[in-house]
Formats: sequence, C-alpha cells, structure tokens
Amino acid sequence: MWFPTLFLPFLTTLLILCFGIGLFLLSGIFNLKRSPLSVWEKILFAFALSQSFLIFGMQIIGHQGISFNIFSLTLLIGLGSALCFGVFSLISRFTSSPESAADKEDSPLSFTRQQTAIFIVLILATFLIKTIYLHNTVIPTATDLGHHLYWAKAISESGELPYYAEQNIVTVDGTVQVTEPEPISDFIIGEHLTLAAIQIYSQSSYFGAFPILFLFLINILSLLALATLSFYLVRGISKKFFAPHIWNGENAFLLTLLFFGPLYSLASPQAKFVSGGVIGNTFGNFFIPIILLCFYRALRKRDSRFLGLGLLFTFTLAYIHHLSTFILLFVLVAVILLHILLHLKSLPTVFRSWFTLLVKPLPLAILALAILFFFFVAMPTYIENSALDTAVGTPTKTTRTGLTLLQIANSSGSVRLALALMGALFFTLLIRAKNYAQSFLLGWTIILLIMTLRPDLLFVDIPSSRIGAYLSFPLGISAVLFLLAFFAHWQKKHLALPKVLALGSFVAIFIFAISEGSLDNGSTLLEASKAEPLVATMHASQYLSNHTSTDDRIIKDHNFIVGDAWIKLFFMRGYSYPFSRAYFNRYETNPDREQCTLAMISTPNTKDGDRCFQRTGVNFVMVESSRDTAQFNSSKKFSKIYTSRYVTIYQKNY
Amino acid sequence: MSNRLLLILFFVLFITSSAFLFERSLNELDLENNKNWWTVSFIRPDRVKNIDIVVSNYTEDTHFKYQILAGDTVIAEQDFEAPLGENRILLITPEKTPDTDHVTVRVIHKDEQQELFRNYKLK
Repeated sequence: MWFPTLFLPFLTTLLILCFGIGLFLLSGIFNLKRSPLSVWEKILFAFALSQSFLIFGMQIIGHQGISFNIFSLTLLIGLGSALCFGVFSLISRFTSSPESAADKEDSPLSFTRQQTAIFIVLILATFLIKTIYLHNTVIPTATDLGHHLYWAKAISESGELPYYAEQNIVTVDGTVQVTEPEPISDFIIGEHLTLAAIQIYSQSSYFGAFPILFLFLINILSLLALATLSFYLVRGISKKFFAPHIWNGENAFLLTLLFFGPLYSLASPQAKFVSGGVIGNTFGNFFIPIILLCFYRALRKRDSRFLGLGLLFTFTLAYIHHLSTFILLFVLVAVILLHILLHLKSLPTVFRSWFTLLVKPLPLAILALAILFFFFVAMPTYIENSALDTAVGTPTKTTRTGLTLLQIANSSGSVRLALALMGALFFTLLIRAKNYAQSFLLGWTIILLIMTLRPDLLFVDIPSSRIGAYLSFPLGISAVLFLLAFFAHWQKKHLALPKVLALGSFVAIFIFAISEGSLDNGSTLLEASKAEPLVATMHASQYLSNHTSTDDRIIKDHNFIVGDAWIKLFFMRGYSYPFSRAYFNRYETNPDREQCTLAMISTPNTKDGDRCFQRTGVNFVMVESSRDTAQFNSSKKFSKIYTSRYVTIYQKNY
Repeated sequence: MSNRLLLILFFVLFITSSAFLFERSLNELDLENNKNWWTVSFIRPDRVKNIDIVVSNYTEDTHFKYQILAGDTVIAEQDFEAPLGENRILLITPEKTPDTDHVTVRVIHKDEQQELFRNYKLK
C-alpha cells in the first residue's frame, strides 16, 4: 500500500486521541488563554488527560458490555469528553482562580534568543539520535512488545476487555499436564487500551511501526516533563544565593534537555525501553515527573486544580503500571515526610495549608470518582489477584538485595551520579530555605537511592536493577541543578578563583559528561537490522496458522528464533499459544520449573521428551534452522513440513 | 521565537521522525525489499502421503531444482523457475507411494539446499 494512506490515518488518530481529547478537557479546568500553564505544560497535561480519559472511559463502556469499535469509541469520545468538560467547567467555577496572581509571580517559560537557539539544537539532536537508534529496532522483534501487543490485538479484534490469563505446563504429582487458564498479574489494562483504540481507528498493523512510535512519543514527552519539572524546581529555590542570569528556570530546562536528550538518550530507561516495548515503564517515566510536577505546582501555588490533576494522573498510573505506582507512592511519602521534618516547628500551618488545598471541589470530585471506579467498575489486576505482597517483604534473592554504587554508576552514568550526589549534598546544605523544591528534589533522590542501595531497609522486594532504572531521572535532575547552582553561586559570590579557571572547570565537567553520555549512546546503537530473519519468522508463523486449528498444540523456541514473542499474534489462540522453550538459564536457576518445554525441543527423542509430547498434546515444533534441527532430522517421529534458512517446522507423526 | 513556534517545531520533528521510521518499517517488513531468502513447505501437511510443495522465492535468482528421494535414492528431479516474490506450487506427489518409510524433498537454489521429509510410519 501507498505510504501516506497508511501513515496519515495513524498520525491523525494519534494526534486526536493523544492530544485533542486532553486539550479539550484541560480547557474545562483552566482558561487556556489566561492560565498559568506554559505551552509545554498544556501539551504534557493534554497527553496525560487523554490517557486518563481513554483508560477509564474504555473500561467503563467495556464493563457495560459495549463492544469497542469506531462507532462506540466515537460516541465515548464525543459524549464522554463533553460530559467531563461540563463537569470540569462547573467545578472550576467554584474554584478560586489564581491565574493572574500566578502570572506575576511565576511567569511562564520564556527563552532568550540564545536559549531558543540552544533549544533548537538540543531538540534536533535528541530526535536525530533517537531516530537513528530506532531505525533498526522499529521492526517487531522485542519480546516485551510482542507480549503486550497480543493483548492490545485481543482488545481490538474482540472488541472486549481482555481476561488476562494463560495456560501453563505444570508437573503435579509427577504427572505433566496443561492447566486451565490462570490469571496473570503482570499485565495491566492501561498499557493496552490506547494502543487498541489507535489501531481500531487507524487500522494500522500491530506488526508495523505504530506501537513503537506511540512509545517514542511518550519517551520524548517524558523528557519535556523532566525539563519542565526542573524549570519549576529552580524557580522555587531562592535566587538570593545565585547569580540570576545563570540560576534561572530556562537554563535548567535546557540543561535537563541536554542531560536526557542528546546525552544518555538511548540506554534504559530511554530509547531502549521504547524499542524493547516496555510499555508500563515508558508510561511510568512520563507520569512520575508529570505527577510530581502537578503536586509541586499545587503546593507551591496553592492551586487545587493541579492537585486534582495530580490525583487523577496518580490514579491513572495505578491502572497502567504497578511498579511505577509503587515507586511513586514511596517518592510521595518521602517528600511528605521530608517536608514535615523540615517544618516541625510549624506543622499546624503546614497541615492546614494541605487540608485547605485538598478540600476543594476538583480534588474531592476526583477522589470520589476514583473510589467509585475502584470499587464498582474495576480494580487493577495486580490488586484483584492479590499480587501486591510479592513486591513487599525482606528481599532474599541476590538480584533484589540492592545495587552497589559502582553498579548504579554503570547504569545511570558515573558523571551523572557524581554530580547528583554533590547536588544532593549541596541542596541539603541549603535546607534552611525549607521550600517545596528541596523537599521534592531530595525526597525523590534519597528514597530511590535507598530503594536501590538498601531495599531491605524499606522491605522492598523487587529486582534492584528495575528500581535503578527509575533512579536515573532524579539523579539527572539533581546533577543538572547542582551544575547550575555551582556556577551560579560562584558567579554571585565572586569567588577568588580567576574567571578562566571557572570557565575551564565548567568546560571540563561538560566534556566529561558529554563524552560519557555519548559513549553510553554509542554502546547502545545496534549494528544491523534483523529484518530478514524476522520476516522469515512471520512467514513461518502465517504458514502454521493457516495449517493448524485450535485442536493443535505448538511449541516454539525463545532462545534463537528472531521475534518469536510475536508468533502468538498470528494465532490469537491464547497468551501462551504456542508454548515456548524459555531461556536455558531459567531451567537451570529454577529446578522446580517444568522441564517439558525444554525437553520437547532439546531432547525430543528421549523418554522424557516423548512423555511430554504425549501429555501436552503438542504436535508441531518451530525451531531456528541452524541450531535445533539435528535432533528432529534424526528422528522417525517427526516430519519436516516447512523450512527456510531461519525457521523450520516439524510435525509430530502419530 | 515564541514557545508556540517551538512547539510546532517539536511536532514537525516528531512527525518527520515518525514518517521516516514508519516507512522504514514498511520496507523492512516487505518480504522482497532488500532480502535474499526463500522457503519451501508442504502444501498439505495434514495429508501424510502428499508431498506437493510450495516454494516462496525472495531472491533475485529464480532458478531452482527439486529432487525426491525415497530413502537415499533419488526417484525424481527437475529444474523449475520460481519468480521473485511469488509462491511457486509444485504438485510432485508420485502417483504410486514409494516403498519406503522416509521420503525427502530436496530443493536446491545456487549453493543452498533445503529439505523437507515425511516419515510414513513409525518403526
């Protein structure tokens, strides 16, 4: 098909579903022409609001038994957003509007000509680097994305909310059997609904670029969210210690964009998460800074509308990603505790101001609706399945007992870590100022450092590397603010060091940061595309899908077949259809794990292998052609029915 | 330049990158585009005695050859053409089933050969 006929429907759908709805709803809360929001905030909040609307709206109509199609979704978007707009407008009338006061005290972001030029260079470089990286990974090879898109495809094909369940092969009393579908807690509905809605409208193929592009957009927006948060944090810290031409929000915005845009832009949790299809984390990395921004703005400006948005986005995140929600709750508790600790002498005033902020129409309405939705519409799957306790407790596995500083330096970048730690120290010394900016910055950084270094102190039982991925954001912001503060302070105090030395040290730190950040990018860039083996996998899957029915059972290999996680999308016969031989180390590290999926491919001619085929009913095997064919070619029990340089399919003879 | 113009620039860049990546993925997933591979499969895997095959060719070279082997003995062979991007169907099942429990269909293309086989009955 002609490229524009495929791309334009996707683009139009993306812009309407991800920004149009949100902008309309946002205009019900804020007067967009006179609001205290910068254009960047408008676009960020519009995106987040669109997600909230689609995720809750689709769940509501889905639970009423209404099928998802263009007609029902258009009705939902038309009527639902009009209703929400009306409610928001009505509520906003009862909310005092601090727009004009805010404008004077906290003018929106405004670049000078030089800063504009820097912004253009940074944003160009950011898009360029990420696009170069993604151009080889945009094809559907990532395992996580394949898993997620099975559920998104299930939603758009069936028009119904999915039941997250899978069949497993288990050994009970020495007998191998296939279980009935059992609930899965790892998938959460919010990860899949927007993708399904985009697909329903645009009819884009799940095997094409659209899922990656959606994640790419979230990733870029999360950079803007971080930069905007930095902007306001700097605005919130007193200027009296610093030279104002250096210590200003615009510089913080640009420096943050540098640290998260051109530098460190590929490794986890950035473009690598995009190409890997880690949908929940990518959403989390957008929502966490946005939520912190909302709460910060609410507290700083005493504006309950930001609090309402923050609560709504927190609730939305809970329906998208459990780990991000878990991390966010820890961060929020840390910020609150730190602020209380800093204001022990004036606690009644602090509590009164928080209470006054909370007891306003929008936050109360959001809270009430959230509670109603939670109890009467749907709970997140991880709560419904009581899976939350798996993340809490004393960590025992070595992968969960924390990272060393060296490991953090490797994952987050040693320059960023060094600058961030100095930043944390620096802002702790400035703690007398006792403002929200320091509580947020230090609370966010310190709690994630503790969760990464010593999770046992907080009874957090989650793989430490996964928590470490969240640490890079507060570390980056802390590093940026320290760099800025250091030189702004230097300028202000007119320290005895000659200017040339100041400039020299600034340049040295920059070169150090840039070289490490670029190295990080370079090490992440893939060498070549895997397009050919991938299309071979897809071709073989289509063949098998055409020649089998639900009565047949299939096993495929996960170790060597390129893009094997996407095979299930050709069948749509269940999340664990076909069965999969997992990574070899999974069988070694967990002896209690069933061994049939290993035996049926690695040793099909043994007694164990034969027993597994009989007990599971598997009659087709899909393997990589150069590695796993010898054991089947030498067997009389199989016929080889499909082959290419990359993938071979065997049929069991009965 | 106002923030509004910068926002427009942001979206122009996103749309440009997306268009590039979108087209790139279409090209990459195109079975023929810049590819050099082929595949052979049985047309009726559900029919044990049937060894008709289909060859899908995604190489520039269209010359292929097949051989049918009963055990180790070649009982039939023939050259054939498989145009680029097409599925060439070859109805090669012998009228009389070979007196063997193992029939192989070997397809040769330049230096590469791929084999399919049927095991008719278990020993």
